[in-house]
Amino acid sequence: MDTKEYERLVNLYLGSVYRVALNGCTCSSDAEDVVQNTFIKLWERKEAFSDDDYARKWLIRVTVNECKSLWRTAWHRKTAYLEETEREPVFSMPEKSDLYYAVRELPVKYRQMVHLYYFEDYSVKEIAGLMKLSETAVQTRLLRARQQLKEKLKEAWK
Amino acid sequence: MSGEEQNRSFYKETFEEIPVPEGLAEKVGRITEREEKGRRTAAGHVMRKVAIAAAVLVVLFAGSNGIAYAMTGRTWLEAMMVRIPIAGKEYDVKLREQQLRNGETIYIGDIEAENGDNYRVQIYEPGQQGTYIEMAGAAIWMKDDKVYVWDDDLEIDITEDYAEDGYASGTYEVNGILKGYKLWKTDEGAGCWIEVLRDGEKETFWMRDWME
Repeated sequence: MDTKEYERLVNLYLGSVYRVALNGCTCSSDAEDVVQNTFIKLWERKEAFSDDDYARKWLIRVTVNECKSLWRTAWHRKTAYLEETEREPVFSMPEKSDLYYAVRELPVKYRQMVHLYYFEDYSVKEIAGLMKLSETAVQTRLLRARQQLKEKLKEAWK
Repeated sequence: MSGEEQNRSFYKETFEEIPVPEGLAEKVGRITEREEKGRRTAAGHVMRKVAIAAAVLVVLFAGSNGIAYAMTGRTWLEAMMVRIPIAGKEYDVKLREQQLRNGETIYIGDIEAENGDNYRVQIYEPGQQGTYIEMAGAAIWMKDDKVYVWDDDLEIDITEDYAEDGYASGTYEVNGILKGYKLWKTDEGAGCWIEVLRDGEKETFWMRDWME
């Protein structure tokens, strides 16, 4: 990967990668670590991408795997980063803030799935393949996540 | 617009408003400058050769009392040689050094295999976490004379089974997927094995150490 192409892809997809990472991590500091690891892998990649959509999907796949590597490990699963101060975003409408916090309160294993489904337009089958789960397990988790969002957001979530 | 379409639209509008943290773009941009140093630092002296062929995979070693290394008197770093042969293909991995926020040092090696799957090997410097090996979403963790199998929210204590003769095995189901595990330790080395039955397809992941 040459510097020019690397910078182009960073400009295009940094936001997407960060949002996927944020939804797969317990805190924004972990998400930043994941983002950096993901782009290190991009920089180290030797083969060119056939098109930008393939590059986007590759980056998302790497990000999801980086998140899994992080929170699966013993010390991340057993150690909460409660002492860290979260940098919380400011939204244009209170309803959006409510949705953001409702999503943040979902278990991590639901959150990233919800994000891939609603934001990145991934299908259940694609998510199952990405997360090494059965399609039934993905459907079940999405259903539970939707129910939890509905309970918290009432009529704001259909 | 259906309810689900409204949800999707609302979700997208919300999460599009989340900014990338200040400074992150700069850090990511600087990766092209600093990576060469990282590659040189970590490659040769930590792991001489690693061969992997599996789906997403993580191997973590921690603690100076690693599974098989204590009996030779060599340190785990000196003795480290891991092979994970699946599908008859071997890949060499170069490691890079990375400092974690808690002060620990981790060595990471990544491979993108011919089939497009991503692989990772991680090695932690000796610490207090014990020995931790993870494959195919299942983790075997050994610490303070206790041995566990972890998978998602499931925790199985296999301490007694393993203590009897240095061999433990069993099966369990998690998220609708049937998995099996084996863990062994002999005078010649140690290893572990995870088998996953997913949608009727069987995948086997295993690793062991070799002493030179």
